[in-house]
Amino acid sequence: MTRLRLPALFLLVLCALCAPLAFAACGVHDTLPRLHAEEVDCIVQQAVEVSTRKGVTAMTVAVTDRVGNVLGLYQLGATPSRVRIRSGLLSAVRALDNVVLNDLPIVGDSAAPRAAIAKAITAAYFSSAGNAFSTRTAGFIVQRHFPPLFPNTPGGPLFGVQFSQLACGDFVQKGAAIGPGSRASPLGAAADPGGFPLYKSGQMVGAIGVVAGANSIYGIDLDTNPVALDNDLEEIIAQSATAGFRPKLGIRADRITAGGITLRYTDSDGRLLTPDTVTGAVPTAGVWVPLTNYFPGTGARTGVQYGQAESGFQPATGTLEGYFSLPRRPPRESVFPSTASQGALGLTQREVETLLKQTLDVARVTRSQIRRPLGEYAQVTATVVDASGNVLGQARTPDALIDSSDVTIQKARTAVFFSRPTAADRLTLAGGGSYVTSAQTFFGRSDAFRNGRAFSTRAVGSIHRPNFPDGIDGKPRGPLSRGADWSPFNVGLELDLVLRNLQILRETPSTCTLNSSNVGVNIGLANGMTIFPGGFPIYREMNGSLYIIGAISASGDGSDQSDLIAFVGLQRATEALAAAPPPTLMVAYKPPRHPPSSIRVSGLKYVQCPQSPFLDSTVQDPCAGL
Amino acid sequence: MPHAKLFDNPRSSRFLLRCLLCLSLLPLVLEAALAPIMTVQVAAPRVRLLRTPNDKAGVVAEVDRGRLLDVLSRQGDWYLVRLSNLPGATAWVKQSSLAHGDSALIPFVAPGTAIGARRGPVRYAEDEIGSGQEPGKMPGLARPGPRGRPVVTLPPATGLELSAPAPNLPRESLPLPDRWRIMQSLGFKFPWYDPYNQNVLKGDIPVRELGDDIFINVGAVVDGLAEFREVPIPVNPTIALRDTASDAFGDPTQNLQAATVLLNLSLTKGNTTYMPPELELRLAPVFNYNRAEVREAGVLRADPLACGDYDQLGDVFTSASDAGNPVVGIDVPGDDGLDLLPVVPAEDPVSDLEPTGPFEVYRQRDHCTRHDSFAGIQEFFLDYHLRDVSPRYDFDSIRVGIQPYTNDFRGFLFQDLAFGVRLFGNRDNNHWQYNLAWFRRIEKDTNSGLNDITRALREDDTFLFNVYRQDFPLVGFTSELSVAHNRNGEDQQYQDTNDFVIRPAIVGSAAQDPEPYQVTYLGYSGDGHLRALWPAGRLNLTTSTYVALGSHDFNPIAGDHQNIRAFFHASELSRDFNWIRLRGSVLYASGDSDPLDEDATGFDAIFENPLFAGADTSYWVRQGIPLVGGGGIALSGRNGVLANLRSSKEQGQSNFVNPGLFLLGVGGDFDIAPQLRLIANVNHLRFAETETLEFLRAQTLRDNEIGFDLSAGVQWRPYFNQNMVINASGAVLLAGRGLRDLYGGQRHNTLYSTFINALFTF
Repeated sequence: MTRLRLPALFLLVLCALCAPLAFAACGVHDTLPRLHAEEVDCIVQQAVEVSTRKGVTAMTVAVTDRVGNVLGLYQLGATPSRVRIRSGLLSAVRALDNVVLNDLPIVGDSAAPRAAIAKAITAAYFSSAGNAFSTRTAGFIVQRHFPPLFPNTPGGPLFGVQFSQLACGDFVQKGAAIGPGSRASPLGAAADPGGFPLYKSGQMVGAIGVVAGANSIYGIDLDTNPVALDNDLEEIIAQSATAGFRPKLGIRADRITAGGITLRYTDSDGRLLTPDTVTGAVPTAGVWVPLTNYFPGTGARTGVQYGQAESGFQPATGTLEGYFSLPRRPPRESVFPSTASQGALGLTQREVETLLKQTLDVARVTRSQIRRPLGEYAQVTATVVDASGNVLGQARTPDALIDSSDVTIQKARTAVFFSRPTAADRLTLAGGGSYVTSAQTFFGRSDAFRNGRAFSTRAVGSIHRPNFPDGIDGKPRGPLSRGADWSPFNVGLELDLVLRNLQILRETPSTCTLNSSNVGVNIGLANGMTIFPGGFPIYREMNGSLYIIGAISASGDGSDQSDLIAFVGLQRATEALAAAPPPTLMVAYKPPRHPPSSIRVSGLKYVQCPQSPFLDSTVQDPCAGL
Repeated sequence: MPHAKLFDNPRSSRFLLRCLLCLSLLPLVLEAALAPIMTVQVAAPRVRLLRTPNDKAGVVAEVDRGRLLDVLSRQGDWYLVRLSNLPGATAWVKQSSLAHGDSALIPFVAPGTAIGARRGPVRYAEDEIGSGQEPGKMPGLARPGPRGRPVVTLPPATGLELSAPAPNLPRESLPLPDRWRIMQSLGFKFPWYDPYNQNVLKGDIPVRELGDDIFINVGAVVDGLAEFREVPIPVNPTIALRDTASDAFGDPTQNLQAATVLLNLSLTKGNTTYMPPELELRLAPVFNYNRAEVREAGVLRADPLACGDYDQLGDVFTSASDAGNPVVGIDVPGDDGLDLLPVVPAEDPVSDLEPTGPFEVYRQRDHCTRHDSFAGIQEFFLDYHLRDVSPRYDFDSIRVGIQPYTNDFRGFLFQDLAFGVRLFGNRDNNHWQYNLAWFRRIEKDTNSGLNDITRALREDDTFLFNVYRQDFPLVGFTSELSVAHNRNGEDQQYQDTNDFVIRPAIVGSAAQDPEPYQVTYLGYSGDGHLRALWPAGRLNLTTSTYVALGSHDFNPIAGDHQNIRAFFHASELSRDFNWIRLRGSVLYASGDSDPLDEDATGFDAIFENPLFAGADTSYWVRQGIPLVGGGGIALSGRNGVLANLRSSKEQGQSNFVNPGLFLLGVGGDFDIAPQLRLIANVNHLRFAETETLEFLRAQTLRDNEIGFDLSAGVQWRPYFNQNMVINASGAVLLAGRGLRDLYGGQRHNTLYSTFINALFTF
């Protein structure tokens, strides 16, 4: 109990002395940009007090730091909540929809803690110093329409992001000890209200997630109507508990627009939030919950400081100076591998560095869609993978969202996976055969996913929507998607590839994709695939032929910004490398490049760059003709 | 005038006419002894009336040329004429010879004419010699300028004139059953299709079968439009018409063709010439065909596949193979028969590779088209004349049904063909006019903009009252005060015919269903000359000022309840120089500098159709510019000047969280020939506030400037009338720094709009 330092004891004494007086909201313990254990205690205590006042008997609260270390996992009430995954769109069990989490193997009573952690990690991973997103925000941008209640509008900008940060992924870090991020989320990204980010002096330091009630729904708010407030209990508890650690109003999701649509932050009547007061500094009404791979259960912990080596995110040196790099990720893959496995075609370290640098240089002049105040540049992560999906390098701008570490890998792998002629066979191998058949019907070609057509993640995503064209109600489903039985928990191929793993929650495999015998098969989508924009395959010409050699991706801002940054980044890297070819013995150096438009899928959108893309110029068509 | 009061009841006018006749005969009876024997007219410039028939007698009066004098008796060259209505007030005038054999007095009505048959009053010489002051006119209200006495100069009598028939001769005329068809009864033929002569279809002649005061008027307007323009439009995020379409903005080139046939049928009861008709029933059905062509998918219809060539693609490859989920294939055109490029992963054996050859470019489709047609009702009302309130036919009327209405002189606030009940009329010899009305808006057809009466009326009511006062505060200037209350209670999400949700606007924190708002507009408008103020200036002024006060329960952009506090002013000063009219315009619509606070301070109208600053020749007014990337709204609507961020001018709701507008313009009309008018305008436009745009676009704007709008148009009326009018115009919008930040790019720095419009009216 080293965390109980003198000030806290003093506070306790003070509390005993003036019991009738309500204390103020949680105060900060120090000015460091991290959550201190005492602050975690206080935040948990606020959640406990609010729950008690609301008459809630079963409540689980999780507090994480920015990179996903679980700093506190606390349960109120003897019986943990029973958690049902439920979108509200389907009445029967479909994939994860309508599944009772407690009934899954190895989950049992850990359902509520897992859901609470997923919410906290989601709020933490999608927020930064420039934007505060809650899990409601996440739920608002992953639905089949954007905004959700309007027919004939395309899907949300982060459609499908719920299946990222998966614990089965090869990139996310696991284990209960405090360590570098990004850490796994037990249930992927949460769309269920009840997760909020926590701030200290404008710095994003962590997040809170709450599951409450004897029978809790882990779902998504379909009725996003702002004039009919939900007043979701979990959301009220979580938001009340953030007192003292709230973001500035100006960076909240409800001050941020995407395509002219204001995002949602909370759907609670502010008057229902309890006063920002707390009567105790250490929670005593419930228990700290141990959870394998997440939390030892011995009390609140101090989180890491984002930007320090301990967080896994720190400034880079060398070529990428000015940006952040990942020091070592994961052990079996180096950041800049040799090109031995791919011979002369493979991306060299210099090329990977150039790709990352050029991409982030684009980001630094790109108008951010989601950051406030206006005029900030887009903060993103960029990732380069090889043709097999191995991570060759990842770098980020300093304040990029944490979620993009895992998501950019998903994006790059998705782009290269579907662009290779092996895609059809490998999908079949991992149990996605029916989707291949659908795609062949859809394209009217038996060689779909075998013919080497270049797919960006936008192109993959556009045939992975419950309607094709995206968002047009009444139209048939996209071939990779579920149709009439679509829900955020039954999306189609993206989920089905990892579904077996999610159902058994195997957290230490080498890959998320399993074959029918639940044996991992590495098809190149080790941490799952994703279906929103920002990933592009990379090609190289040699001896008059075109080879696919990898992919590049960006993520962390608006989906069009992700497209722009990766797409223009690759183009600029091509130009930079062509202008300064390596001093090697190669006769004719051919830099990595975009596929020609002739091998992209005609008719499907390959890339869409945003309007008024740059902060420093009025160029409107940076992606035209590339 | 003792007769005047009897006119209070117009329904007994026929009876009154008879009474009038009786009364006018009364003096004749009294003066039977002094019945004139003939009438003479003064032909000399001026003759003297003398006390006795003697050249040296005293002069009683002098009369000018042209006067008619009743002759009571004659002595040689001397005539005794009536001087005034006093008994015995007579004087003598002498016949004399003028140059060229003319006489000073011309016998005008032959002796022996029956006095009773003569219309008009008894003539007294003294009436004609009055003081020169018009009776009953206040000095300040006299019409300006000199006004001479009317002089009738008759040609000298030649002796060949026919004298009036003697009363005891047999009648030479035949009774006619229909006074309207005199010409026809004389054998004149006026074919039914000839609107330039008397035509029963044009309300010239009553319809005999319906009654002798029932007229019908049949009109037809054929309107053809071809428009070519550039408007920034978005690229669909799913479907790309061109593989190179990689950015948010698509090809701005568009064209539009429309043909409209409007029938105007009206039935009128009452004498239309001398007094307001008692009843009017009007019906105006309209038929429209329109075709639009753009170069991006998902713009004309929500479904990007509903696009010309693409139309069938959505249905061709349906298969029921996949677990009951229909799978639709999109055949990628150009893909068929094309051998696949040998793209292989690097880790695969290199020996499997084949040369790539030149990269083939797929066949490109480059546009989407939409054809639509529509039949609607533009007008359908009954106008009932309630009463006349003065001998000048000041009146009160009521009009019920679908009717045109404009609230101010230029259509800034409300100009629509809405359903409503309107009580209107005038007072004080038309110096005052008033309207008291309730209107409920009609759903418009999306692509034609015409009234769609097959849908329920919109829950959007406007209650308004206004009064016009002529010659106030200056002679020649009309002022109007108006109060309009617009109450919108729409609460159901609504899709237009292209399947876009149009209410509420998909923007900001749009609620699922629209939320009500109520706004009261207090307005002053004026129109007329400023000559009374500054005669030498010869200036004309049109002005409108409105204050909008109200509340919106939930404005989508603000995401909250809003108090509406907005202001609008527009003025146009013009001066005519012979065949040239030059105009200067200024318009200010307040903007909202904080879209997220509780006040909505951007001005929006109810349904604007402004005739201002070049109107539909100007780019900014004519074209609606979508705020690409800023939600499902337009920066400004078609045929609207306000930058009001509505989803649709015709079908959307008012929005008071908007950037506002500041316009300065100069322009001129040049009547080059009677048939040909040239119109030219230059406007400079700025947003009043940019914060709303910055919020929606997540972008800072360097400047408020929209840019310069340059336009020119010609109007050609080959037959000097409105039966055939050809309009053609072209405009360019030179984007300023603010607009460049929003749309930018080479393609949007200069946007053009051209159209040609032919109007045929029967």
